[in-house]
Amino acid sequence: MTYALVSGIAASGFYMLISIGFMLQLRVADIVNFAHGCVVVAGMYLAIVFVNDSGMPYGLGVPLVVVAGLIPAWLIYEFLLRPARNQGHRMQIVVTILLLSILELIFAKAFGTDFKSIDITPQAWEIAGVNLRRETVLAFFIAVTICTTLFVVFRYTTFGKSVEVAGKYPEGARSVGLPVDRLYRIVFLTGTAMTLLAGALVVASDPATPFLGFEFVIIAVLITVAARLSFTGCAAASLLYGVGYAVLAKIFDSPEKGTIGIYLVFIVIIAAGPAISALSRHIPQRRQAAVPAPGAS
Amino acid sequence: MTAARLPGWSFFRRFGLSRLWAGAALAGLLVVLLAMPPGGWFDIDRPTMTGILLVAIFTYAWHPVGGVLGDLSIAHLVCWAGGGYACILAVNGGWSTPTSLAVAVPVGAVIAGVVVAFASLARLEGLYLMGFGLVLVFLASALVGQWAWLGGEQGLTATVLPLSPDDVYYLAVAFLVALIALNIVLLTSRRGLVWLALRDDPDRVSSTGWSPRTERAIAYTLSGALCGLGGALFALNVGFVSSTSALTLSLIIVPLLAIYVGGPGTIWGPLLGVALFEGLSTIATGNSKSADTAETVALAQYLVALVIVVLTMKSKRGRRGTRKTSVPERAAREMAATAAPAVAKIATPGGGKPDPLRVDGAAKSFGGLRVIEEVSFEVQPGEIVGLVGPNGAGKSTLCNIIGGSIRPDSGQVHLGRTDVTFWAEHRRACLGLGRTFQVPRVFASLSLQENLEVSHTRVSETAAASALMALGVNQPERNSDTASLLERRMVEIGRLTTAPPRWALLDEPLAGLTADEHDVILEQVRRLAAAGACVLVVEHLIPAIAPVVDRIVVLNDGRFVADGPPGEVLRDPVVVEAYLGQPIDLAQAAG
Repeated sequence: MTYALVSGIAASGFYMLISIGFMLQLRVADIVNFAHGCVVVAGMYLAIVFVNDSGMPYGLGVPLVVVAGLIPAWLIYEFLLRPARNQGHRMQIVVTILLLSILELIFAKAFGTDFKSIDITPQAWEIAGVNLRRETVLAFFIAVTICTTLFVVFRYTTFGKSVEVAGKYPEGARSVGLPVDRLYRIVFLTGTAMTLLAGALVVASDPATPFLGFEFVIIAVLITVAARLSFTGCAAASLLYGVGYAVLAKIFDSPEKGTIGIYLVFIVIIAAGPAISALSRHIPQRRQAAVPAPGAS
Repeated sequence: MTAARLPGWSFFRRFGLSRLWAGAALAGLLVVLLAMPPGGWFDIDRPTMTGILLVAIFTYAWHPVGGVLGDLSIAHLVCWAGGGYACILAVNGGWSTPTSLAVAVPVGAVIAGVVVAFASLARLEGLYLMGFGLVLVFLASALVGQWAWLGGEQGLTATVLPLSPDDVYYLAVAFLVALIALNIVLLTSRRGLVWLALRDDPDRVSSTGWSPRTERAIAYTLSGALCGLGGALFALNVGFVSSTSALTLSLIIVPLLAIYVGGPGTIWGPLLGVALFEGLSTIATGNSKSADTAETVALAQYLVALVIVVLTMKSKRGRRGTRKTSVPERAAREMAATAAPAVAKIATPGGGKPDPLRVDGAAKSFGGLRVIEEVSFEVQPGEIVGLVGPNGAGKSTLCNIIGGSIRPDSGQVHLGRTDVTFWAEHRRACLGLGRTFQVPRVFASLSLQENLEVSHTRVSETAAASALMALGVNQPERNSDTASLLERRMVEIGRLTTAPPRWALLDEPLAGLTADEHDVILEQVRRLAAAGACVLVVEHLIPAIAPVVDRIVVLNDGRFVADGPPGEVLRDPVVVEAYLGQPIDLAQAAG
């Protein structure tokens, strides 16, 4: 059970990075980006190219992956996703699924369809009596540090408040002089950078294939929807997804039953969300009804 | 209702096809598919063609929900797989082939019914509905893998193959043609317009007298039943069904892209989309046999699709097809010119005088804010009452309480002798309540005249076109996203004049219009009252409405402060202090 708990927590760092990246793009820039999963795959392949083909140390390759991946991401945002912003979520889903399909085929042509692993010597660290790969543990701590930093920035700084306002009230934000389009661009690229980083980190333990993108984005969508676009909710749902699956699989002694269990938990969370919101809207009114109106006899 | 929707290409748009033409095109398609020799064309043999037809079947079966309603319901994959499993179980149980196919229909319908009921209870929509569908598919896939009676992860194999590949081909052709015919009938019917309107504004649909919940349930159940049957055919084609073959997300990706690239809510768009995504790649890969070529072709088709989507986005008229009205413009103009009065006498049950609109002691709070306090008033038949007050007085809330989109915390709303306080919006509309909104809410997926036809009362194309032209709206067959503010307001007014309501509620009908345009709107208000309707007009522009209304009631801080003829109320010191600032001279206002 300890192994299930520790490995589940370690895996949740990856889910945090991809789901918070997806959530930021949706919540602030109002873009449903199904090509997000391909960004993870791009991060994986870029890390493989830097480390395997260029002989770069893994530690140097990881930040370079982010820098190299942001350039095409910026171009895609400017020429494809920004125009799709005002077309509604349905059209954005179609555009980004097309983009995902195109990127998958480009990866397949460039790298082949076989599994590719990164050439680094595996080293294990012992955490709470459990041996885990060094990169997996580092990935978790990097993910938590980045997510915490971003949370603080978005919650407590002027920049973060500007981003929040630009996402919720774009017209009002423009009227007070906020550079709304630039803020959207920054947030989109921040989300992309987190996802590229997730790809560069996860490739240390999992091999890359071109067709993993859809699987990754589905996990990001599930976590984001269950968290109802909340920053802390995404972090909690990522932890639940990682730990919940590992623990349930251990309890039932079956990965398949672990999958069923975690999906049931997520169905309940997704379905209960709107009902809880509706209920919470009624509660203050009922409380208020008990309080006499000012001036009432 | 004689037209078909076509993909959003202007060439086709100008030559909108009638239902007859669509039927003829469908018959042509049937002939071509039946004439396919066993060896096939372009290296596509019949089994390969059956595969393409099955994708088209899923696309058209899903279209009522995925394209027309616009709900990206991934859960329909479960209906598809459910139909497949039910059919193979029935075949293995010794049931006849028609019965085995038929049993898939209720299975698909029940699954979709449960999904829509659950989504409705949990108020899931948009991305949340999609997320729910995704989890449901994964859960179904994992459960099926665990259940031995469904073959577990290995899947379920038919003990006998009851149909030859040719039989499946002909069945698939027949089913696809039937599905397209169903889409033609649906999209050229009033119900089809309602479903398209639901995609734009479900709340506004309620006020036209249709229940969004019921319509959505019908669409889901119909689509689920069709997906179930499609899944059964899919399973019989190979005599096998498993979670990896029938519950894989890639199955729904092609239908999704086909519908949205071809044109959602159109008759032929999904077929064009399937031809682009499935047909062309099959031809190209069939000719080359090389995996590399297959990838290149797939890449090319996705790029072409992306270009089409981007061009559609850039086009200002992103409308998914429209139709050319069957009513010649000149004929409609002539009808409009002779249509006097524009508003027919209100029909009442039993033919008597319409009953008043009555609000008794209505109160409403939002959190700690009391918006309406114990408000009571009546509007008599043939009477026009102006409801005025400063911003935040509670006018729109009161309007929404009468309309049914907000429930009062206490008090009652009576339409005639019926207490409708707890009635849903669409039931009030069916009883005879018509309303317009502060910001005109026009369905962007429909043409201007279709916006009138969508009413629960049967408004014909001719009546809708002539009513709009009488109101000065030219080319009523235009897409509504091209309409000016006045035209959009006129569409809202037109909804009232074509199906005159017994009780009419107009929320700031003059906002944003010029003085000349005010006269046009107010003339229609007079006509509604002359026809016998109880008319309540919420407005800020007191000098504009004062000459028209019989009474003015003034609301301030959620309470009535005055009620009476305009001449008295507008000189009332309480009203002047609370709202006007200085008395309004009615003679000047009229001048």
